Amino acid sequence: MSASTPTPKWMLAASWAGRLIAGGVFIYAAALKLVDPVAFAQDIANYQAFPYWTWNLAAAVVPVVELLGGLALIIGFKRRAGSVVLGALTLAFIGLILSVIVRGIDLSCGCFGEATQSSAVGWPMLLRDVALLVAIVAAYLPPEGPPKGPPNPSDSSPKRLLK
Amino acid sequence: MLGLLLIAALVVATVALARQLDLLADLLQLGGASMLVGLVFLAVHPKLEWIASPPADDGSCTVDELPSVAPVVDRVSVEEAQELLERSQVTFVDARPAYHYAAAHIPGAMNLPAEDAEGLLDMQSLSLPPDGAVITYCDGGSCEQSEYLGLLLRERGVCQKVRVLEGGWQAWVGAGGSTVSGDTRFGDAPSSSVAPEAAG
Repeated sequence: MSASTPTPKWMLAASWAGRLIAGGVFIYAAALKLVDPVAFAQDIANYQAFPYWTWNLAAAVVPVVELLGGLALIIGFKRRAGSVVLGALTLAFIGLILSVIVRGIDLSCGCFGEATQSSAVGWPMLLRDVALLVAIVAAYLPPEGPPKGPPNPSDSSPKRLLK
Repeated sequence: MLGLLLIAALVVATVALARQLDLLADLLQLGGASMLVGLVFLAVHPKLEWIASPPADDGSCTVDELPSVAPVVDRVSVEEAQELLERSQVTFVDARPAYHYAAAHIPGAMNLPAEDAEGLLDMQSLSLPPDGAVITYCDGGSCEQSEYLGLLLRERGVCQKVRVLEGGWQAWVGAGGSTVSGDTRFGDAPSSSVAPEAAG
């Protein structure tokens, strides 16, 4: 989409919905993990996919990434960067879920800290993450900031010289 | 190794999407801020060490090392299992590790961890009613551990009417099934030290 083309209304609406859904989900998930990072570190260990020296580091950094990414989506400041980060994180979650399904490990996901102990990792969770990824893509789509087109030759205002 | 591959994929996906320099700069700022705040959080949190303790090797096999079995043992729904429990017509066998069992289990359940089940059954017989219904359960998900345990009990002739609890412990708790906590040794009559509590 060129910078001069106005963003379609449907895309703006979809983006707002995606921002609210994905941003809200990630902020909620981050808050619950930050309350009890020790339990989240144990959840990471249960996946049997990471070396032990990364468990606590991930338990501290991942919720902060989720929180800042979610805030970026909700507030709109660095929205596209937040979308890319949360999208990459969700892709990683999807990969992890697939690996758990393939390896046949029984565990609860730890996606929302200790609040959802009963949500076991499986296909429903994979679908939920795919839906979340769709929301993130919708949040990413509209261009960010003021349009940056080529300089207008007819613009003779002094400000143009400062650009 | 799998985790490192995932991280590498995450980095590649991030850089691939950051086609614009502005976006790349924003990504670096957001990622850097997250890493910084995360490290500070890790440093100041009283219960979180920089590096977790390495997992202890207790000699037991992992879930990956359990014999692979196809799902041939009959399943039982949580609702039906609750009805059987209310009528005292069933014995539950908990396939999870002992510390999970001690934390909470289905009332009256025996603990026979799937990882150690073969060795334990070699050493001691399990006092299960030969004609009674037996339900095995594990944590949840694909129920491979309870499936394995059900097959083992059937092969050893311990009981023939063995079934696997659909969805395992997670489904039981999710459905509001009653739970108790307490410890027991393999082969003992199950006992609980704490009064039943409402699960949720």
